[in-house]
Amino acid sequence: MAKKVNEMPKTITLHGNNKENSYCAPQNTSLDLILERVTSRITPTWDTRDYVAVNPLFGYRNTNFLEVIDRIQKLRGTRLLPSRSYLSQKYWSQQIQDRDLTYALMLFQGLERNHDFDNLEFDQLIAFLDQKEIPSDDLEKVNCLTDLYDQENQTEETIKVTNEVSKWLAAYYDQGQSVWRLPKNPLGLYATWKNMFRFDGFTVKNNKSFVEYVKRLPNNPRKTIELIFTDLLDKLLLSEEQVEIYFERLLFTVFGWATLVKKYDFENQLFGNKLKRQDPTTLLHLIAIRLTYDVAYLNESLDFEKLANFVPIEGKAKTDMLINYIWLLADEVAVRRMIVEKMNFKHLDSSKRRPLAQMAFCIDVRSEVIRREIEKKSEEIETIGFAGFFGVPIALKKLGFDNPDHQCPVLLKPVIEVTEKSEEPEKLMRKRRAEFLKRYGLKNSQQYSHSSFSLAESFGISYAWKMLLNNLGLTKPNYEFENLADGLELDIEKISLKSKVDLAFNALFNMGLTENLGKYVIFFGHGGESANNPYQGALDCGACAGHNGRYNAEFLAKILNDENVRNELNVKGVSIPVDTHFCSGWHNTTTDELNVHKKIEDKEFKKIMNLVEDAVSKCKAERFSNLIGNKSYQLDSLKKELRARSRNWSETRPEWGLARNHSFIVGRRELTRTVDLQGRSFLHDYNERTDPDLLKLELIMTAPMIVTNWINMQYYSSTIDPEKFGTGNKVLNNVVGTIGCIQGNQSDLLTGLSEQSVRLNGNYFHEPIRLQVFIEAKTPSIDKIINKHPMVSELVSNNWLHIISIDVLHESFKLRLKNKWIDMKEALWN
Amino acid sequence: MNLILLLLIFFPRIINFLSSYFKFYDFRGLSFLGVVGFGILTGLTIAWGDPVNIIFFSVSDSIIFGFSLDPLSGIVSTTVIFIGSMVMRFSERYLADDLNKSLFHQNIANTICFVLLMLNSMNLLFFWLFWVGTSYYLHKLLLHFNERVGARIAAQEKFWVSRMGDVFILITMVALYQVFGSLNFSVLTQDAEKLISDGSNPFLIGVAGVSLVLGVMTKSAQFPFHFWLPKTMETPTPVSALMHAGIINAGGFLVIRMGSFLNQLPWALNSLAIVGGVTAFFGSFVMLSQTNIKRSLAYSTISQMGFMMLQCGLGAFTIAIVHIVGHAFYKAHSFLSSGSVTDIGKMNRYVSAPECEPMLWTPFVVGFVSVITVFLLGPFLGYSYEKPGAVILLLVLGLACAQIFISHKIKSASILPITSLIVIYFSLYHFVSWALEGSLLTTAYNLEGNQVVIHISVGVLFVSLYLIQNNLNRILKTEVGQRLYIKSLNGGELG
Repeated sequence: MAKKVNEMPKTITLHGNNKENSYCAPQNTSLDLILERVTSRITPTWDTRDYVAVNPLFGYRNTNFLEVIDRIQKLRGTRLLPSRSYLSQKYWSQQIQDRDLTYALMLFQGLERNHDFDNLEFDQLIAFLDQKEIPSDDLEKVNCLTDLYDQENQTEETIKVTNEVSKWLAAYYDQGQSVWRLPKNPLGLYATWKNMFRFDGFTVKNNKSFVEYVKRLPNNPRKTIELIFTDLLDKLLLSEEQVEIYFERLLFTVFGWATLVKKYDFENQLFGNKLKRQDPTTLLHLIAIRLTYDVAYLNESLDFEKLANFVPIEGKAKTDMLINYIWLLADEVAVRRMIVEKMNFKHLDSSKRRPLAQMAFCIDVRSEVIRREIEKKSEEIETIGFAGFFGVPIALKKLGFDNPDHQCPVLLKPVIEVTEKSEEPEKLMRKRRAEFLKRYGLKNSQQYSHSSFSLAESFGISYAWKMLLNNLGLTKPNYEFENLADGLELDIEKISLKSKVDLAFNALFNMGLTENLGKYVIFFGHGGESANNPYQGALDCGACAGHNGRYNAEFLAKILNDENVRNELNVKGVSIPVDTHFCSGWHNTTTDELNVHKKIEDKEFKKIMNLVEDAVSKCKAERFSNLIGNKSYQLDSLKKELRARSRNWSETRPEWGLARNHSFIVGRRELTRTVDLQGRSFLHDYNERTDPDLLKLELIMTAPMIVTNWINMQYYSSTIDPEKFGTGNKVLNNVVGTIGCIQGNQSDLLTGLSEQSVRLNGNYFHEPIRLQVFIEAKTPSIDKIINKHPMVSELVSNNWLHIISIDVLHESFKLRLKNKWIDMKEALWN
Repeated sequence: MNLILLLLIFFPRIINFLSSYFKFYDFRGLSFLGVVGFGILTGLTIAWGDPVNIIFFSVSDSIIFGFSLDPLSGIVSTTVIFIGSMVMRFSERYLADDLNKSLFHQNIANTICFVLLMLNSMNLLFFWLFWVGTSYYLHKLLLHFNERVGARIAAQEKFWVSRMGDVFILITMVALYQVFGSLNFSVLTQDAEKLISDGSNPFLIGVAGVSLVLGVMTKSAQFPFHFWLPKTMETPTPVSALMHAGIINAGGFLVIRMGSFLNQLPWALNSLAIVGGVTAFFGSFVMLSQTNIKRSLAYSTISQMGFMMLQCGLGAFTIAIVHIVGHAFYKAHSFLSSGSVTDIGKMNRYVSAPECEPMLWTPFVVGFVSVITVFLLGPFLGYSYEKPGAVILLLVLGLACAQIFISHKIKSASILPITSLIVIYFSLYHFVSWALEGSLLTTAYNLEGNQVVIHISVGVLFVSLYLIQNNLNRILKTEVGQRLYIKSLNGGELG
């Protein structure tokens, strides 16, 4: 085949390509640069064991939001902007008002400096709502060779190749489904695929020698890419830009797997040799595989002019897209207006008494409701918002397990490994291991033929019983890892005093808990609860890598109660009152219960617990009115229903998760203390006055702000296109390799959130807008951090989120636009 | 009593109707009454020894439209309505968000009703009609997301395979009617021995036999008519549960119904045994390397149906019924709980289970000891070698015990499953033989020429499968092994 293609340029007419200008043969170095650019655009996704929210477009952060929307539209055939039906519903229900729209238009004209749209009329914006949605098939796309082949022959080869690649990657990354595993080559994914491909019987019409061709390719993916280039693609005279977008398109046809490969690659770089697995696979391997499949379809009849041609959107389609974008801006303006109107400056001056209790929650939007309700109950209780791992990046190795879970943001390395202890560790350990291995043995027996036949015959009837119990919600089909052992607690004795003090100091300092500590300080981690749900991790704490945050809370409370640690902290200048006691617990976000670990038998503490109990009931009623519909539930039946949701194996929406999140408010709690933010804001405590060096602000803007952007963009993209950027309809999900899902029979690996998590009856439930970050800090301080960190500056200046500075002194708000700050109120109310 | 049977057959549909029109009360809670009803009725028929019959009208003595619940159909119907009500209850929440959910629930209820109608038919003609009806509603369920290309392809393939099956059964009916002058199951079973041993109409009986075998092969996803089954995952999970647990085994049910007839045609049973053995081998072999849960379960169903067909072909109808029922519960549960399989991934991270393969000699020794033990234990537990297919079935049971022993890393943990496996196996066997005494054919069995060959080849097939699956990594070191692996991964579809 190689030979045949070598002759090809003679038969391809070059359509008058001007060699000097458009043709630049990718030299080795430039090819490397291209590959580097392409691979940097893929964001890792974590598998279902640590399912954290990821901004799928984070790799594009150095490009303007609108340009990326255009590019994605061409690459993936979907326009990531809110739909007309959603927008008109918001407009006609007055949630987006005319003034918002006018203001958005103004912002847009200032923002884009696009004079073609200077005379865009207001009526045109309204007319947009009634125009027909452009079907995604009509959007002009960037084509790879299989795309061209499909267009030529009316086939579905691109999907076929996606499924083929998906088959190989599923076999390569399988973590426990199959008992017969793909034999892995130590050189990684590409070599494994190449060596096994010859037995596969994959055929392409009119290309009989493809298998032979693959056999002759080198084992190194980089060399393969280069070879295919010099051999075949060079002759097509692609410009460097075209080569780049061509690779991008290739990766987008296997987007889900690409993000998983990227994750493994990312972890390899982060942890280096510490990892037990040594797998050199990088995205180059996947590109090489997909590229090899692609050139199988190279033949003369294809219209190469259409290959990898990215033309920025133009004409009518562009106007349509820009108006759609203006509507997004208007929706954001309306949200900002709503928040600004609510913000409260009255309580800021109140002198601080010592609170009875302080409760720290995750910044998660689901904490907002419970915090508000608790504070309503008592003036004596303060709540604090902080990233849910409470600043202690730990790895938790549970008793009897060989390997730990990371309980910290996925971008961080855990600093220490914590284990569990109990009174009879040996016995418990044996019990746990035995239980696991027993289940493992049974699972394997079910997959081998003879035992599966006999087990079905003899034990089949027992599944009737299991099914009945599951259906009644009495048991879950899951292995309940937690319930295997009661009475366990974290073991902090083996950890050196120094690391305990360091962790404790950092946590208290960053939380602003270095002074005015109450009598009780309770840290609440959080986690969801669901049954039969592959994406359980998506309901858990993202700051704890998709796990329950209770362990971090417990760990922190434990070290802070340690006498020695307190003494050392005193030396460092943090004095903890003698009567202050630290507690921990966790917020079950599915049933909205607060579980406190080791309650204190004390009158005051009981009083607090009673208040909390009241607050929880209110919170339940508020949080779940949306979930359960308009039925007015009695508290008891509500509790029952919530419990049922968390335990029922047929529930596809145990809770709404972080849906409807719209803002991240960084500042003193007094600003929002009495304000109803409807569980839509991430709340992070920050006091400018205690942060002269801007260390805390820097931390907030480089860590939680990135995380909230990831969450926000995940919900954004999954809502707009649950099929392409989400996990689609949950009733079709099919767990692959025990670590992810595909849709139906075959598909690419799914990433993002399911339709059930973001939509209700086919309509958006989550409102797709970009994150509005309110920071109570002076504009120069914010600018300083933005300029210091390229990642932050890229996100901000390319409009991946909006930053608003809260000026407490003048009670005003400034929006950062194109490196400038504009006063919001003025523009808003005029 | 008759009215109760009728009510029970239509019970899923009634529940569905009530809960969709009268919202004030949760009627779905009542769905369990159907299971209880069928259970009690089955118990009564077993106790009385008489089936419950409802006859609506009879065109003549030969074509009777009516239903009859005997122990056989009673046991299977109880299973089906149990699974049906589980699936209905599951779907209620699972599809709460679906825009066409009421249609979906209706179709599910209709499908279950048609299966029940079919199982309790007195007459092959109506059995066939209700079979077509089941297939019709299943088709609608497979097309629940008819905008999905995959769903349309799967439904189409299933449609044509099912229509082929319909034609085969139709041919069977025509031929049988010519011979027997009736299509009532009672006539077909009672007169079979007399007519066939008379030697009258050997051609028509041959045609009936061949088309019956082909018909059940298409309906129960036997090789090579299995290919559509793994592609039907483009429909909500409960449909898969219902299909794999309640519908796919209808072919086996018909074979058992027609047991007395088929027993007169040793070649027909022999071919079922071969087809079943091959299908079981094929399905198990492919399942080994499947990477997603639903496809893995689909190949599991194929292999289990093959094994069930093998049991039928060997004449071991009693055990085949045990298998149909047990597999139905097992498979329905597996599908409905398939979202929990991510726990395996977690477990594999927490506890690194040593991935070492047993040593070369282990499977031989363990298998040998286990098989011998089971062979000795069988007669002791009341399972005589005169029972049809005893040797093969005991061989498989022995290898199963060996496999369970090998699969457990902690060997002592395998003792309990193995002993209970054996005890329950024989208890269920004795229970079902007692319950179906009289209504099921259990003749003594003499191995004859051809059958010896078949027994040996099926035995070899199962032993080699046992050896293959205990040497998977060793096999992969050879090129042939890698070839086989890819064949398995592709489900034998590509290349």
